[in-house]
Amino acid sequence: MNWILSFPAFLILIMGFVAPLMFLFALGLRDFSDSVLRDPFLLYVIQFTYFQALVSSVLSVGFGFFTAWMIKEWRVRGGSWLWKICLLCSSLPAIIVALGILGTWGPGGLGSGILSGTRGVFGWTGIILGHVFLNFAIPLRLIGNALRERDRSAEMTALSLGMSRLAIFGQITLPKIKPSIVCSFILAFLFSSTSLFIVLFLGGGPRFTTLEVSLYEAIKLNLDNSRACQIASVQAIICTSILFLYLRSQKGSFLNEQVHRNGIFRPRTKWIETIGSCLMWSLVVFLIGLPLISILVDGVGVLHFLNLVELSRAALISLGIAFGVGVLSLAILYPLLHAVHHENSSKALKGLSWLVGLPQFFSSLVVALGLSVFYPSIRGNNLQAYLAIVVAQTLFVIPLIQFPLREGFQRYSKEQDLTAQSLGANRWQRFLWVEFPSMKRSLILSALIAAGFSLGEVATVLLFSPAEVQTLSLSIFQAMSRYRFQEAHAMTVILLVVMVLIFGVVGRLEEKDD
Amino acid sequence: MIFYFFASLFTWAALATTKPQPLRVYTYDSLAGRSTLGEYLNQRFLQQTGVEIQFVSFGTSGEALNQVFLEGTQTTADVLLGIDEVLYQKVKDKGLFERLGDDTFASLEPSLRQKGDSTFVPFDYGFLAFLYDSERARVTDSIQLKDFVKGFEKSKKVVIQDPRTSTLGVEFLVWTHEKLGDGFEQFWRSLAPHILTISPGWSGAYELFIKKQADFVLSYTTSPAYHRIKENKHNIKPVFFTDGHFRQVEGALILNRSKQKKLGEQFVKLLLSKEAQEQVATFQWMYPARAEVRLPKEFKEIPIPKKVVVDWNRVAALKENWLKKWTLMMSQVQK
Repeated sequence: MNWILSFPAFLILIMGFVAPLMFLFALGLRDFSDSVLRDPFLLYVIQFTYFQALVSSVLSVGFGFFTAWMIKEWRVRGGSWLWKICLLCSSLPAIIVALGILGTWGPGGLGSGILSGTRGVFGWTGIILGHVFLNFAIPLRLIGNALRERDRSAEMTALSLGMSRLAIFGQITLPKIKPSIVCSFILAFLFSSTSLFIVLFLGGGPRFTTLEVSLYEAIKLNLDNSRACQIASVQAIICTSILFLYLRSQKGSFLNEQVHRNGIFRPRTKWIETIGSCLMWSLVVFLIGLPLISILVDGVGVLHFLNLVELSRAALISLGIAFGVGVLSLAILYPLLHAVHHENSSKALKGLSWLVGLPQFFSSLVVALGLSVFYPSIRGNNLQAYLAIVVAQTLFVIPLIQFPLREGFQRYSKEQDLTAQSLGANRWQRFLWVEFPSMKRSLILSALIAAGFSLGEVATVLLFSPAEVQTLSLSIFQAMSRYRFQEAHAMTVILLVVMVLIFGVVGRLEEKDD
Repeated sequence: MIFYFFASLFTWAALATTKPQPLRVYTYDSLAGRSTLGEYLNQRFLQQTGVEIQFVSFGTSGEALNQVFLEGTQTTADVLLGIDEVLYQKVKDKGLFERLGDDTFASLEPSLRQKGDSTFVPFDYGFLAFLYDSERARVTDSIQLKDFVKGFEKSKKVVIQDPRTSTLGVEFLVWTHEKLGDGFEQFWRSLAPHILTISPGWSGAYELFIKKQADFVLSYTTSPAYHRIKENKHNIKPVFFTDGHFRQVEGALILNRSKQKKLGEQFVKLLLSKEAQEQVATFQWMYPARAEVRLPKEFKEIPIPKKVVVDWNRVAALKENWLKKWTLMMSQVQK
């Protein structure tokens, strides 16, 4: 029975991800050496992609580490709020971040004067600002958790034996949090190398072209699927290598259950603490707050200019897709995790549940391209196009929602299930009366995360959507592409409100779970 | 009661089925929507035929054309509007478009029609040019394209469009190739240090220029007419080159898969009618394709530059190579 429950996950993973990706590889590796290795521009693009990813991830980890340290060790004033704001910002779609940065540092923006006389926000400045904004929450969360959960007793002992704070940090603290630093660096590197909208809007010209932008151009602008498959293959090979690095980095990273919470790195005087708090808050407001404020200020004033009929239509389609993604992702993942929960010993089931996390290591364009070359009729047919959008987004949502669902299953006691079974309840009755009530909150949380992700997703919609179909995020993308910033800002305000509501509820539910 | 309900349902269904299908026109977005030539054409077309035009708009005309390719045999487009000559070279031999009689082209400025072609119907044209703000920059008169950057101070910034994503960008690339020949690379190498950014499209580039982030922008000789008419500003001016400017011609194409070819032909007729052509100048900020149409005085104040002669067969054969060469070169020299 449990094997049957894992079938939907198996089916979508094979037919929606593995087979299309293999097919894409087969197409891409044809004439690979002639087309890719001898194309000097593509070689330049590969080099630029990973160099900018390296710089972006070093800075993201640096800023994330600093913020995590200030919140968890220094305990800056309003630290819990800072933590929530930073994590909320990281859930924003890349397109909103690009819009915010353009609005603040771009032509006519609040901070454009600071960058005048240079290339402005375009090029390195914009790419790095965008990637740090999007990715610094990864180290913030991972390193922050590692800092919070570490056992501090060795540090206290070393301090009492006269060791300096710097030496304690280098010899005791750093080794303990190293796995989280490595892990967050790899993830930030991966996401910076596969980001599309930041580079597309804030780059500018051949010199600032990444693999993902080349892929977008080949698919959307040149309709050159063979070139797109070659680029996607290069990217997929590198992403797979990063995945292995990530898995290696996770080995040995564990958190101590018995924690000693007295910090030795807290500022020793009040005024240093005040200066630190001010510095931290100003930095976050400057880098993260300003772009969002610029969107809100510009957007709210022009809300009344929006075409309400078109906007409602786009909102309905967005919500429809989000609903589809929520339902499909739960319909696929829930039975699988249920099966894993009830059959702990099955390695195959555990392997499959691990495999569902794979798509997050590939860019959405690569996965969408795989689907479109494997099922070529998708783009010409409205119904199939919607299905493709929902399936592609579901593949990316499943890895995200498996954590709240797994946590839900961990809380759900098998003893209750056994008691109900001994009282004569059949499988369905046990599910309805025992399992479902205890999993309800996790299910709602997962559905909300799925919907939030789907609302902000553009790449799959951009690739598959029929000509006249608009979603909110696609409308923002199109307004930005046409430099109608006021329109883009106004629509972003609406999307932001919806997303803040969704992630606000997610945050509350997570707090309750904790 | 039930009888009335079903009767009204059938009546509604019958009315819905007899309502004529709208004419679907794929175009770029500044040709559709509010206060555009598209809106004007829709109103007139509805009056003339009782059929509405349904504009499906895209970021660029290239994207509109791509959509037709993507939809393949299932495309529901009847007309493609706003395709330029460079883009047209890519598709002209594919047999996708309806041939039209010579009478369709009779009223047009003769040089706009491509030799031996009867599918691409020109409806407007304009000359590419660099614009500058005379309050912020000074330009030497009577220069050639190759000398444009000569004498630029280091701080002067130019914003151009990316030929990989923009029609205007690719036309500028063709212009520099056709005019400068072997001097193409030298020109781009000297321009590169002054490029502020290579924008994906016209709107982005123009925005940077208007917000005073760049001193020059690639646009059309007729763009200043907009500022003169709409804003009463006379400081935006084109740089005129003595050796000529690239002429962009935009056209309409009827798809031969369309089930409404007759309506498509009526649309083309309306597009080329004298009254519609009179609207071209102040909606499109381009020259109308009919020579005898009267232009606003602000248009007459702008000199018509010499046209660069383009060998379209060479462009069709070599454009991709030029683009590759340019992309590689710019990845090395762009600052």
